[in-house]
Amino acid sequence: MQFCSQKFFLFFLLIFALYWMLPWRRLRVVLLLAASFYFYASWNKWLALLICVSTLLDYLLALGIERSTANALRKSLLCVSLLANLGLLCYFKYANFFLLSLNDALKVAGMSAWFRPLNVLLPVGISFYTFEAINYMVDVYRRRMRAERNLGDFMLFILFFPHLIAGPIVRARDFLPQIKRPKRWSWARMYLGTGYFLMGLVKKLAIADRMAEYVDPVFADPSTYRGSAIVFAAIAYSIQIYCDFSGYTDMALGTAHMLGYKLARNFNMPYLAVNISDFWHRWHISLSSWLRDYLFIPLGGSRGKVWQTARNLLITMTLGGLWHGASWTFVFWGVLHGSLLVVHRAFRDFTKSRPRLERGLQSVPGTLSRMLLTFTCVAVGWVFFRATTFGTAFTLLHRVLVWHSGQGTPIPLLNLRWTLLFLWTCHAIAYWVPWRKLWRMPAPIQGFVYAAALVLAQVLAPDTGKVFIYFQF
Amino acid sequence: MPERETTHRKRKKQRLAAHTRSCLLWGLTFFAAAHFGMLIATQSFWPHLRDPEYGYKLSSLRRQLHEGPDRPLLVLLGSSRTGQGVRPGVMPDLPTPDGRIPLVFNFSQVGSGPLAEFVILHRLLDAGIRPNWLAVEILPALLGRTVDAFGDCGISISRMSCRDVLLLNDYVHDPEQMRHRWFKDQAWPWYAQRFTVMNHYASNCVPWRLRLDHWKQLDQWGWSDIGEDNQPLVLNPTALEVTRQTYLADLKHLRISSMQDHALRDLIALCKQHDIALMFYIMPEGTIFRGWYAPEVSERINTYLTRLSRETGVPIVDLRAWMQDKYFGDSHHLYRRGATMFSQRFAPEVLGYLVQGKPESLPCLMTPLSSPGSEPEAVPGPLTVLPKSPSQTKAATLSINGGPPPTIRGARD
Repeated sequence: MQFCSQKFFLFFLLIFALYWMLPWRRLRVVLLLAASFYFYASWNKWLALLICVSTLLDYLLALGIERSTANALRKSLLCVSLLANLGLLCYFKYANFFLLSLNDALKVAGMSAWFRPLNVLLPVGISFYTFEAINYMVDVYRRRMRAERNLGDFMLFILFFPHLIAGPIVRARDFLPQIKRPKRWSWARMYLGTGYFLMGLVKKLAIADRMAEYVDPVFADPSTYRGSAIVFAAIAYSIQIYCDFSGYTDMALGTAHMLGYKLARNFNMPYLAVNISDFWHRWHISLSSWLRDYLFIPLGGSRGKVWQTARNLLITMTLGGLWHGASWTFVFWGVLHGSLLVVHRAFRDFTKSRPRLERGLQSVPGTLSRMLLTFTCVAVGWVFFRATTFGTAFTLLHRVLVWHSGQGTPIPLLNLRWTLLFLWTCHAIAYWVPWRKLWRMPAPIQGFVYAAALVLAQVLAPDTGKVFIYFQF
Repeated sequence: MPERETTHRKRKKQRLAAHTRSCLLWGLTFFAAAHFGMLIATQSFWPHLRDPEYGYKLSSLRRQLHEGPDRPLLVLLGSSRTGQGVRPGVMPDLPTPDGRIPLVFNFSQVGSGPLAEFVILHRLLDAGIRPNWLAVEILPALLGRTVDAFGDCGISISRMSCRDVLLLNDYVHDPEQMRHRWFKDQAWPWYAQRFTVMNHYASNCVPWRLRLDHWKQLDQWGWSDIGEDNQPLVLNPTALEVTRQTYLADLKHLRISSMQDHALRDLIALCKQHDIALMFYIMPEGTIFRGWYAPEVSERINTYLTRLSRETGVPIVDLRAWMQDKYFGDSHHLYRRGATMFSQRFAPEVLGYLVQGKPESLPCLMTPLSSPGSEPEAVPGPLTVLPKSPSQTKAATLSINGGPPPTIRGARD
């Protein structure tokens, strides 16, 4: 069930109406649980059962961790939970990747062994809910929060349908107290939720899916396109993935707000980042902060020597890349970002002792150049992220760097130009105009903007519904 | 002091709630108004946003009629073959017996079969345009198609008006489903007509596979100019392959559909009712296309059309062999040069006789015309009973095509 499908609208309207009609908090939790289960089961009911079982296990183990006083037992219970969660993730997501990689390695070594790939179905959103379960278990183990006593509340934390499939990755510390809090109808919240949802709808239907028209044909057959078409495809993909993922997040935030919940912010105008570190503070914030808190810092963070920090960054980003997908291109993407972070760190230290250079970089042209450089690095990274094989990625980059004749863009550039202008305008408004001013605009004007956004999303909707990119992770 | 603060906060909250509620209600009102306005516009004064090809041709025809209000009108209905192949702008004048020069207008629609032509004639009459003569193309390959897949009749659901839906009620297998789909489209007209709107106002933003803006190349007489001729004229293999995929199955296994037969006869009846002189014609085809007809299909089509012509007294002219292969892009659509040559010959040798009121002198008739009112020659097989229910339809299809009558079990097929 896609967020931007008619089926979801009907489903949500029904749940929304029932939710606010129910006077009891517990019943509301039950309703949301049932709705979330139905939402997930609409993909696959067996996998919905699987997520319930793994959630139940985490619930029991967390209670065990809390009750036990012996450190060894607590650690063992945490390990069991981590093994179960990561084991499921590895089995469903990475088993075939490892088997095929092993086959390739054996082939290169001249051996004839062959491991047959497993016939497994990837549970939608497994990477997201696994990370949510891990953050809960680790926080309980570290005694940063108490284990949840109520099974229904805990299940809702994992299964809550707005964030279930593609995040944002919710922290138990933030979400569980919200479940307990009584919810009151609030027009302001409805308005905010509707605004988020509409923004997401426009991003997905009117921008991301339209950008796919530039991207898909080029990545499917790069050898027939000339360099300029590939550059535009890379730019279009940068826009597509941003609008697709942040569009999904906005819709998740919107639906959650309409039900009285607040999810974490996941994006903050990432393409305005002035360096790669800044980019990761603005892009998929819930994942980058998770990686920081549960991987980078436990590895030692930036407390050790320079090489240790570099190692930690590389490990964190490589695993972050692998988290996105079971493919070497994703691993490479992670390594690339890790390397860029290391280089940026070194450059930052280098400029510290050179105030003139520092001042130049902080000036307006310097800032613009840094933004452009950061965007270029990120866009090159997206080429590896989007390409299914290294061959495709290298063909794309080769055709950009070395002149080749070939086709132009699959559709005229007008669409891309308008989209860039539209995005630039929206970013400018978001950057310079305070939200309070926008909120104070007369109601008919705001209502008109809402209606226009919805009609625009409808008019620009593609002929076939495209799945959100991050659903595959 | 704290009390005053609390009251102030409360008021602020209330104001915010009232403001946001009013914003949402305004948004809902604007959204509903946008869709309602679009619905009214597409169903009444902006038909080009619902059915662009029809809408543009209608306004073009109205302009022409406005310029020469006394001229009698000859309208051509047909598929894209007629759309690209009949060029009224280059036709010589066709004087009527009383010396007037009629206005010839190409009102073809891409993909039109008999049913779509019947709908278009209805629309024209509803719009207050009654042609004096009507030349209707028969595309033999479409005679076997049913209207389950709505594109097959040349009009998709989203392009239909309310009247079209009522009209098509008797022809489709599942009218309930058609009505359901139509109402669903009308609930969100901006969404249902999104590609039409985009093709109209921002066609450069539409992917090639969804580009449907051929109506932008229409000349003032409704001819669709698809661009410059190839020099020299050569067959386009890609287009030929598309044509093959579109029609080969029809031409190998075609059985006359009772729905199309029903539509043709209703069209004839409608013309008689409005005193419109009518003729049918088959557009030229290349040798490759003609080679795709299975012998039994070819015979079936000829038998059917001969019988139709005899029974109704409407002439049917077969022009399939009129043009050389080099004038076709895909063995059935004429290039610009072919369209010019064909139109210059088609006008005096075919349309002229219709305008003159001498259909019996037409060349290439499927069958010699019997004089109106006389008994047609005996033709085996029942053709006069036209069923309406799906089960009857199947039975009639089989009998039209000479097969054994089926056992009807009452279930819909």
